[in-house]
Amino acid sequence: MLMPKHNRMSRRAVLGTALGSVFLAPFLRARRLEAQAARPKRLILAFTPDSHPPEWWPTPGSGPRDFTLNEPLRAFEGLEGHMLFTRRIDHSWSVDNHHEAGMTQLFTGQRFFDNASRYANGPSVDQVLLSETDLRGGTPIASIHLCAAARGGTDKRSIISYSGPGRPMAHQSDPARAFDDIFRDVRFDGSTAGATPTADAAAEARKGIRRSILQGNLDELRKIQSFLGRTEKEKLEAHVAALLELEGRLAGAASGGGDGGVIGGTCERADTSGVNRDDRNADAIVRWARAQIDILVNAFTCDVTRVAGFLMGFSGSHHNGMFGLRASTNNNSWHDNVAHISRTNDSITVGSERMTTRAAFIKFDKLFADQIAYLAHSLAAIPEGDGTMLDNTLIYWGVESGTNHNHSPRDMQYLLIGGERLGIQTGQFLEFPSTQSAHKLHTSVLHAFGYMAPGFGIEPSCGPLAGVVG
Amino acid sequence: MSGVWKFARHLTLVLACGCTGVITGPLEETGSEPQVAPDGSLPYVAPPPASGVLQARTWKLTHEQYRRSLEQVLGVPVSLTDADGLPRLQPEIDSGVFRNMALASFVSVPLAEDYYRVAEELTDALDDDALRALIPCGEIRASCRDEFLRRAIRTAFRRPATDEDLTRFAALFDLAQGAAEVLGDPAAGFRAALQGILTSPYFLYRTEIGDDPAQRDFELTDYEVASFLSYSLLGEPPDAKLLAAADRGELTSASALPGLVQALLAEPAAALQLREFLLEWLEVIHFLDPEIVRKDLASFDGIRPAMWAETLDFLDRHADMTGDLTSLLTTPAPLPSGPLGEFYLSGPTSDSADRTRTGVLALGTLLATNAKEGATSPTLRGVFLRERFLCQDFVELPNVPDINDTAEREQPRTTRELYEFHASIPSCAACHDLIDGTGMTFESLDEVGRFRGAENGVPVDTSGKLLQTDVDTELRDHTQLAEALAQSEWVRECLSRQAFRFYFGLATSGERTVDGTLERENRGMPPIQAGRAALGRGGSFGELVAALVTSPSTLQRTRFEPPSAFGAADSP
Repeated sequence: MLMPKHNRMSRRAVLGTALGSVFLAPFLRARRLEAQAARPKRLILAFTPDSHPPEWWPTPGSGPRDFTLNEPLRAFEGLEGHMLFTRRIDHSWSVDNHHEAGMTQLFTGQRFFDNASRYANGPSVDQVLLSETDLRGGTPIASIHLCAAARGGTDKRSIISYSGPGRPMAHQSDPARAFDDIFRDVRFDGSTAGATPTADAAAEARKGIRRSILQGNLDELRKIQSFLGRTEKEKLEAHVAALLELEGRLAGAASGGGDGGVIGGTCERADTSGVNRDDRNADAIVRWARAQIDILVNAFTCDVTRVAGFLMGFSGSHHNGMFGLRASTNNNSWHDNVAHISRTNDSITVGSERMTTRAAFIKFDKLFADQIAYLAHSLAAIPEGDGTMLDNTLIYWGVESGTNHNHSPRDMQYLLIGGERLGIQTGQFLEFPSTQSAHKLHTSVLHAFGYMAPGFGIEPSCGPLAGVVG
Repeated sequence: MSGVWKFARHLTLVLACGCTGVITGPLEETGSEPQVAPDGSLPYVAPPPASGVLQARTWKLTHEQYRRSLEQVLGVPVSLTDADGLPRLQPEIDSGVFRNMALASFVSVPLAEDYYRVAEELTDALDDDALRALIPCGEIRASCRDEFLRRAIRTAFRRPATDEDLTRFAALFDLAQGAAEVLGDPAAGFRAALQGILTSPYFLYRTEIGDDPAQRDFELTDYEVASFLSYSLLGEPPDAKLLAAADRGELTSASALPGLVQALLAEPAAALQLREFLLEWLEVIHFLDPEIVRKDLASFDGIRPAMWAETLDFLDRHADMTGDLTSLLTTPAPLPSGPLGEFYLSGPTSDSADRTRTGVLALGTLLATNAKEGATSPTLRGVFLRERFLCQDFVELPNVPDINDTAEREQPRTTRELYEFHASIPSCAACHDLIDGTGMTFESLDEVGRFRGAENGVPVDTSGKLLQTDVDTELRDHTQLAEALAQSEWVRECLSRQAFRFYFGLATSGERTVDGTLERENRGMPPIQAGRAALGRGGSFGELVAALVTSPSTLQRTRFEPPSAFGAADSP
């Protein structure tokens, strides 16, 4: 079975051991001092459903740095200098109508783990960077995964991040629950940098008990592994890694937040009220998305994490009847009745208006794009060091199908937003003369975060994409 | 038959039908080549025998098994929903097969957190009476520690406590008890020990690893057999009686296994477990999914519980331990009395409809699960039948031509017209003939199971065809389809494979293709063939399950992993 090896011990895992802490603690202290002046790096994987209409691409001008945004991305106006479009990016394989294949390889560059689950056969960009670099920066939570206009869950159509082969990372759809999980140890006291957890004798005693339980369970897992063959051993590695992560959090909770550096903004309590999780009502979706985005941004300003996934809808999500959509037949699904036939320019009823299916596609697509723009603007509004939080954060946004819902792996619409301080060459519309593999784009993203991989996913030697990172 | 010929034959079948799908099942590779019968059907071909020895493995408890196991250890009711109605655990992995697949499930960081949180919440909530009930001496006294640990570990780990267990949990107990004052809890040691036990991998997993890692091929221990049988057949941890039988060493005897299995299958929990298998196999479990909504039909939400109850009642009557494939598929489903019957007759053209509903496939839950909102889908219904009853997968090739940008597709008069237009495109036809030909037979029942006489003024046409099976035939309606499937050897083997997947938590024999995308299940495995043979004798569902779990696969395991397509053999 071709499965990437995941049984190497990460630096964090090493730190979680007694021996590791003895040898690495001085190094860690030195690094923390150095980090006081360092800029944090952050990554957000973002997904919106289906594909975008052709108008999503900007209108090119006289050169790569001269382009004009069109209607679907109107909400991004003012952020053009932070955007990097790359055209003629193809996925490397496909099956069926590409919805599931596109979703699986969107940020993993992998094939299916198996044909039943259709999960990815390897980790996604974010998780690779967490294991191979210091991207986490000592924050308590490795990554958070939130969604709106979708229920989350573990169906392959709702997954963009994988910790390993067949190991999906589910998104939390409920903002209240997400808030509780992410900010459990955070005290919002108006300070600008991070959390200060309560530390009393009882809490310390409980921590000691938890530590003992974790260590005992780790020992038992390793003993069980010694009875198993390769595949079964690998299966339990996820559990081992999870316990090491919890051990690390327990050890790091006393210091709170990440390992220092310039953290912009204020650690504030996000407002999760007014969310009814209706995925067919545009106003409800906007409120839902913004509550989740506010949580995400505050997780950054509180330095609880530096890696996030944000999913809107899911691959092929329908949002029936949204905006008052009424089709002549079928089920009033934006996917079936709008995206599928957006090339016909037939007319369709949306609320009280009659419009072309293309116009309807733009209207729906814009709703999702507007939320990504809200995220980008939110980050751009937060000063951080001598720039903004967006400068230190890459939003890596993708969809599961090629331009204009063509059910193909061709001309995939990825957009990189922010990350100038990571070396992302923003403010460009790179129209490549020939098709380029999405694996190259992923490799460039890895390079931006300092992981100089020769390739990614099923193209381990593809190299980076020219012009993306400088 | 040479490999080249087999490949050529397979290719011919695929090309002959023009279908770009992967047609699996008895057509594929093993056994002698099926000779096409005069009616064009393809008779069943038995595969060569294969090993029934399974891999040494762990098998994580499903959320429901976990809940029942918690109740057994703590002696109190346990809910996995919190006070706000939110789930206390992360969603389970969607293996795409059954819920309890051994290889698919894993413990992620959030799930590990949830396990700790649940263990803490539940043990913190135990009052003194509940705690005393767990302590053999009946008192919350540190001196009762060892007896308490022995009992708790035996119940939680489904085996006696080892010295290693006792050392570990005694140390944990003492650590917490030493902080009892600081924690303000005189029972801190008891609670901490329970938290450790309830998050231990020995609690969270069923282990099938034997007792000697140096032994390559081995038989499960008596306690492992107890857990296998109890969780697989009853969906719950072994009770004291079964563990006592394990103490006496009575469970590892192949000759004793049939009697033991019969006794377990007679328990009410076994019937519920069989029903769970049927609900998952038939995918009707998805009817409970919030995604199945009919916002265009105001009466749907109100009638859903009655539809669900109708299905459970049908299964209990016609697919219990004494029921069989024929009764499941061909027993007429009468029009229910009361609101559900009124609902089924409430379609715009119900009055002019044929009111025949035959077998489980015609129940409202199955029809609504395999439909779109506001429209039937012969394709969804047909794919469901191919995958679940014939064990065939369809995988389209990439870049199927777009069929959506046409007025015909936007403005069809009937569902049949829409799908026939679709199938008129040559590249679509071959697969859709196989799929839609069966799905069309249900057109007299709409997307929520209401009787339908006409669609947009056109009388419904329920004719179809069953192709590329051992029982190929033209079909007048879904009754003929059900009767044909009930006669099919292919269906019997597929049902046995599905039951094997459910009861053994395996969908593969470990084979993978080079690109790692397709798992293969060895049809020749003894439990699968024993199950098929039982069904072939007209056996009941109870006999099917008994045949599966009295096979060598229940007892025999190996730590040796055969070389994969990538050459990496392994043995610890």
